[in-house]
Amino acid sequence: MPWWAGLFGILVSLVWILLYRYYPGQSLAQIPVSALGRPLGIAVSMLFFVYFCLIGGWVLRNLSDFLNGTIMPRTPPTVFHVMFLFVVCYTVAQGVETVARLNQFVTPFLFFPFWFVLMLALSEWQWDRLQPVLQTNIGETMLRSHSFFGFPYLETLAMMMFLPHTGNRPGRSFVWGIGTASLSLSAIIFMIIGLVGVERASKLAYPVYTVVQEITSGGATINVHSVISVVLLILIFIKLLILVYGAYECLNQLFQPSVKWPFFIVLGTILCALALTIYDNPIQNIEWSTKYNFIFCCMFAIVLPVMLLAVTWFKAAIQKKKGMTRK
Amino acid sequence: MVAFHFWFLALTGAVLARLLWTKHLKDAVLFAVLALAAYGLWLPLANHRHYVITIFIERLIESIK
Repeated sequence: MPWWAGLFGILVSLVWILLYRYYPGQSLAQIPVSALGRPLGIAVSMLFFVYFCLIGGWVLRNLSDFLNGTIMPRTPPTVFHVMFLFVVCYTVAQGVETVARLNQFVTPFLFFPFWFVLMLALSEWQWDRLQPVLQTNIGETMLRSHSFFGFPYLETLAMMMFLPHTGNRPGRSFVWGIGTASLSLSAIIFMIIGLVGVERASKLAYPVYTVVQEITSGGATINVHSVISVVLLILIFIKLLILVYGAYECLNQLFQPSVKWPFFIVLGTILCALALTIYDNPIQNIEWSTKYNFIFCCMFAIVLPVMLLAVTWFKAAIQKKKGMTRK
Repeated sequence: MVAFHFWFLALTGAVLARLLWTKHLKDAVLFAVLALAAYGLWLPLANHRHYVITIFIERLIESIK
């Protein structure tokens, strides 16, 4: 499933890269202004701002749900939201290089402990859990799993805010990133099926966490699940960092405010409220995501970019026609 | 409710006043618009009658269908 969804993610990212090639050096917030003119362009860019804020609120809520459900059940969710937003806003205020360097620094500390801890659980591995292989109706499974396209693949639209800051061949890095994420997700799903089985994993809220919680060594349970907690928290932090950067840069590039900090305060206030109102409870969230997440993400990640591309082609065609009539 | 208005107005009012005092008028207008949006999100939460955004989006999608 991640391979098929990853292929879809790569195809959609090619549309975004094509759009970027028409407007080199411009971010997702600037492209609509160049394509549609200032008033309409600002309206479309603000839609992207709303999208980043909504996903940001979602991420914050997922974070507090995870912490409330695993480690700190009595702490009010807003405490986690404020704490994370404080660090995120501080990092984003330092600029794009700080965001990039932080990710560069943190990634090895996430990758190796995560896989090392999962490898410790291999004593529980049973090949029987992976059987029967290829017995499901693949076509039907693909159609029913469309929510997988929205989360996480269409949400990578936020990375378009970073494209102007990347060096040569930004598109290639983007596609490589999506491809690597697909491989990584496939490997995680494969591991979870082999370690806990499809039946049990589908009933768990956080299967990776449960797998690691049950690791035993010499008959005794060892407590290494805090490693996974930290890895997951930092991963959520990175996603939030990218979304807050996207939302703030939308405001910054559209309105060019002379002071930064008031906008981080108000952005934090909006995100905290969104995190509390985005969904009712985790069950409603899962049900909603299965039904509507793809359509919701499509509006921002496919419809708007395709519309911008169409306008660009239309304008180019008109200019070409004008040039020909002048000759 | 009173506590909400106290912290919210103190926070946004102080920032807005500072922006106006330092004559950043454009920034003050943008900040006021965003603060109003934040107020609109926080007020139902303070009233314990908040709406759920995903349900709102769901209704929107269903009405388009």
